[in-house]
Amino acid sequence: MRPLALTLMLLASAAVARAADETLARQAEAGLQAATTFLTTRVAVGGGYLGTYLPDLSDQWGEEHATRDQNWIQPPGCPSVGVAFLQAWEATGDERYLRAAQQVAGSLVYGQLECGGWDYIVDHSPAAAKAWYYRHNRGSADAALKRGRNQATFDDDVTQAATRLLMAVDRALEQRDAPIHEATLAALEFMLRAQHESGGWPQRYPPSGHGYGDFFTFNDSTIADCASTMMIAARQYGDPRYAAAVAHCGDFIIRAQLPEPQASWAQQYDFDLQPAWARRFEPAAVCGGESIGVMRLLIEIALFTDDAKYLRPLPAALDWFARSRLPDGKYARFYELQTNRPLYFTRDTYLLTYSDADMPTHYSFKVAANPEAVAKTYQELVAKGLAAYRQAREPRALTAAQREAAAVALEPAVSKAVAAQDAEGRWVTTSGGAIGGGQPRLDMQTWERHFKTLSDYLKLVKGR
Amino acid sequence: MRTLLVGCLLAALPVLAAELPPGDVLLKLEAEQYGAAAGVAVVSVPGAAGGSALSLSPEGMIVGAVKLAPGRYTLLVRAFAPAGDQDGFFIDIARARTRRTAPIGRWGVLALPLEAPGEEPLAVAVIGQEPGVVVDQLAVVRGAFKDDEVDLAKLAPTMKAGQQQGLENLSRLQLPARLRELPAGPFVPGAQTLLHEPFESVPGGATGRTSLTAGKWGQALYLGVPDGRYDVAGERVAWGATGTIEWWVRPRPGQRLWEDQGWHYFLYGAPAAPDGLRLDLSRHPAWGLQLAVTAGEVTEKLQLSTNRADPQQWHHLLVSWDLRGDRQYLWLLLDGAGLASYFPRCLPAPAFRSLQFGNTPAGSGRPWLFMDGALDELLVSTSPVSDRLEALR
Repeated sequence: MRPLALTLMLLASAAVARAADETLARQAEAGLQAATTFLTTRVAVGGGYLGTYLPDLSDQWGEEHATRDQNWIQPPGCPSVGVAFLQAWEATGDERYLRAAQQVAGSLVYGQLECGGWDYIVDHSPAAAKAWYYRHNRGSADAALKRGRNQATFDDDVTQAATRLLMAVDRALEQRDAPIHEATLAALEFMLRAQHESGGWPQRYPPSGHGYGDFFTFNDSTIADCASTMMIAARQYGDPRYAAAVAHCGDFIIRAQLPEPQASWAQQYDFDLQPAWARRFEPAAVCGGESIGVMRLLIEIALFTDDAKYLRPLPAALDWFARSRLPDGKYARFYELQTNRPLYFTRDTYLLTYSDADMPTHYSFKVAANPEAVAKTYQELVAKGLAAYRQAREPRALTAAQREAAAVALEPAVSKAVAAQDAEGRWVTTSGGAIGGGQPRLDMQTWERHFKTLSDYLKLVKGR
Repeated sequence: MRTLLVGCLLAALPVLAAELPPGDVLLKLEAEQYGAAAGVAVVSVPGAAGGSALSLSPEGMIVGAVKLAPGRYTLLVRAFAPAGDQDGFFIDIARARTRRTAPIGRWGVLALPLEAPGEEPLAVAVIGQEPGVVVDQLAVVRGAFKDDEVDLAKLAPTMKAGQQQGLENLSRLQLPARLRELPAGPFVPGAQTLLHEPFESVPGGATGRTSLTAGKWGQALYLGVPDGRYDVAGERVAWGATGTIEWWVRPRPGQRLWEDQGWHYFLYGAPAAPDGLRLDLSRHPAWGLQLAVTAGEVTEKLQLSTNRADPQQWHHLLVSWDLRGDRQYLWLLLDGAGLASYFPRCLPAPAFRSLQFGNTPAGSGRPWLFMDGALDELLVSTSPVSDRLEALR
């Protein structure tokens, strides 16, 4: 082929591609707008959301069945929908998304408990006002409004996710929404208060004096979510107490590391810093599941504090992982103290046993942990040093060519998201969420994924 | 544990919900039809039918059986969760277990499909998991329904309270038992005493992580995690058809053992002969504090709730037996209060190879099930506890 002809063909195809980009960008923007309109005008209650809805909005769920008046905090509930709106605002600059995120933050302000944290749900029904002692009722003359539940949870990223969304909205609004700003600081004060003098965070706070909820909890990333929330707060507000809380948490993790030759961590600790039983299928034991997350958290704390002492527990912990892999390549969730034998439970009777022949199916007693990835990061950190490693992973502005390449790479997913949206702006799926398989639903996790895809694409296309 | 067996026939039920066709309500139980029992407490909850409902602890269980013609039915459970850590419980239908969560902060009706395979009674159990979940009503209705679709408050009860049986007609029974008084000081060995261990020094038989600590009186033996245990060699004791073992325990307060959901061993009596009497005393969320006395295929059990035991305090444990006559007796007391059980003769007199305190039985093949705490003032005597009990009112 002659060079001139080849050049003309390339120019023509580039022009087609550019036109397709603009069309897709318009479709993506229209998709975000339609979805946002549907969510804010049809779905939201008090500005907040649950996790799953029937397409006609006749029924709804969070982690479990919920009423129409309720919002769910645990992702993919209220805070994560708010994050999706913020992503759309950052990508487009369109104020409608910021207003939508502000409404979600408003629902969290409404549902903030007097203690400063959140329970799993926020209930906007008048009848529920007495079931929880909400912070907005502090000044009420009605004593009945102050007798309700006032214990917040850090389980399932509840209080942490709510606080992070409030911080994000507060930053986006440049602290101009006084109730949101004030509620955010109250939530952060609550998290400081909830951190035990040992540096650990419990699963629930204030303590009830009963059960395992008062204990320090690595399960479901409880402590990691608290620490990462404090890191964001420290960067955003500059209050040194937030940074100190992160370091204090790191010190707790160092102290909580179990002695050699089982230098890993338990899933939960009591006030004596001893491994503790939680639910009947969660024994006081060495944990092969959550300990990976604990090591990752130590790395983040070391990077945040610029203190390599938080990396010191890793070699022994990685050595324990190297010695504890099961023959099938997985790890047991629990290993016996001293003997390091894997622990399981019997299905019907919940008896602790060494046998994996008859395990309950509702819980992962074996996990596919990846300590090699942690080891690789640790080796890189040691080789480069904390400062250089931190600098190397900081996001850099993309060049125009890089942006274009990234946008092109996203286009199949954007096209898929656009095509999957119906005329009402809904994404109807048959999987995900808390209801039975096969039934059409609006699953907020799916919506959040599509929001992110479309927002990421528009951000690249618009060069924001 | 509360057990209830209900035979329910298909026909002729008196009051039906407006939403359901006549005859489709096959069973409807109110909390008021139950009394307080281990693991199940009657509590007053706003919004409960009749004002009260059943609060399930992890060891609580409500069991029923329904006899249904083949077909599709729905089990409905009206439940309430005071909080997010008090919402989980299990439902067993024909031994297939499902974990459900009650709505937090409101009453809701959970629906579970029931498939009746034939004329055999279908066992249905509601089993506690997270302490505090509240169950108000249970119903079995014909057809398929979703959560909150049926208003249980509109269904009338379909089961009447059971008829009382005269105690004299029962060959076996468990009754409350209470010591007239708890030992007020260190045990004083007497003529009936077979063994007295005050733990003023680390005794022989202490294995694994053990140490001395402050006791109820003087010193105590601390049994540490994970392998601390105290064994008494059986040949030190002349076992007989009657006897009592009593001692004081203080599990490490920080672990909250008395209310936790773990499995902890307090005492194991290892038989001298393979078919001899075996004695297990452990605490597990499924059964509470349980004394299981086994010989061959026969097991007699006593179960107590311990949720109200103060973790900061020392607690008195007592196991006693009288296996002499045609009617045999066992006792299990915590802090002087507990249960007596009588049953037809089925157990031989004990001859223990060893008594093992505070951890998994040696050689059992089970993981460590540590008590993680202290023992003080162990006394083994030939007297059954019956002479020290309050008379039944």
